[in-house]
Amino acid sequence: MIPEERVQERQLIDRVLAGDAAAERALYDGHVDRVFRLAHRMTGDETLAQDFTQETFIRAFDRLPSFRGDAALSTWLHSITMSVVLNGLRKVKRHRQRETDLDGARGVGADPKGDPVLRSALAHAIDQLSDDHRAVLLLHDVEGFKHAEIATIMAIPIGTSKARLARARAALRRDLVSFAPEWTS
Amino acid sequence: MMPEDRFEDFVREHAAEYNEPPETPRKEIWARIQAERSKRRFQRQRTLFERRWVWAGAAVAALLLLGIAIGRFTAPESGGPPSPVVEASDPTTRAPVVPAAYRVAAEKHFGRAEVLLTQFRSDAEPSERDAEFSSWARELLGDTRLLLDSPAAEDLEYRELLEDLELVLAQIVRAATKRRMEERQWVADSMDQRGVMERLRLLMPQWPAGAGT
Repeated sequence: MIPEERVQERQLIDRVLAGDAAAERALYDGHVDRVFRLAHRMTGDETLAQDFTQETFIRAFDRLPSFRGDAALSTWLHSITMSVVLNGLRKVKRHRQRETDLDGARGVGADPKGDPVLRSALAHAIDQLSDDHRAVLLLHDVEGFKHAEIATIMAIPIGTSKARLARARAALRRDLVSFAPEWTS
Repeated sequence: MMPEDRFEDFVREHAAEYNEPPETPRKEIWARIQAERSKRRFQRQRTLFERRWVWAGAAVAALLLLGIAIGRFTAPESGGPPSPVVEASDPTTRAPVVPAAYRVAAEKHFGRAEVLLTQFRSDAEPSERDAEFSSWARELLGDTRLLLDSPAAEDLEYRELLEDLELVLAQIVRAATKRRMEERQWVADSMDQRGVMERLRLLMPQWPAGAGT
């Protein structure tokens, strides 16, 4: 983030802290898409994604006075998002597991040829990852965060972030090994 | 086995389709955030207020016990001069009529009612908080009726305020259930015509600035 953006961000935060409702809305508008996208990627459920996005911003507004600006606001918001999502997913895990199993069963019965099957297999393989590994994979490979940012978001050391990404990819490779000939051709 | 870099490219390319999000329902989420924050603020205020009253009640009870204890220790044993006859006090004054415990209970009740009425009036239109308003008003309505049947109602000023409060609370229950603008207006009219807020604030105990906040 360039210094000018950082200053604008600080000014926006100061206005929110001063009780400016328009600034609250501006902060929300500036970040809601990424927060919602991450929540949706992690849950695969629009209702849950909305719930988690809502909770993220409520917590963010409550905790904004303690935001020191060590990281970018977006990184800080994503750390709240991830905390909300991971805690929320633990609560709905049993329900989610049942759905995942059903999705997996449907994938196996689908047309075994062509890209859609491979993509479906990839989605199923990502579903099978633990929440922590899936989060790192999605943050890095889909949302484009760097390991240093992921470390802040997930409150883990950078090395752990790298290790989780490596393990996640290894698990996917293992699950998709049967597709290898189609890949290389 | 697929080459490492090709596999990573594949994951990057296709993981973007994983749980692909729809367009963000910005307005809906913002509305939910506003409603939920408002509800939580309301609950926090209510909890703070009730906690404050619990401490106040405990303090009053402790003072009463202390007063009784001092009275017992300092009272003449027996055979002392007869107590002077006290003339009956003015029936419109509260102190001699309403026992202290009921006075404390009534004032506490007025304080809680004042919070509800203030919150309800601050919502100009039907809102997500209506269900909570309704349940809180029902609870206060029950307490109001209990107080009307108690010695607290022997005080004229208390009784009249409790009767007006009974009406206003019943209107709030109805307005919060029906969620129509005209019902809210009737509540506001009743409160204004009867000066309910002003009378509540006169009778509820005054707290030092910043206490409990």
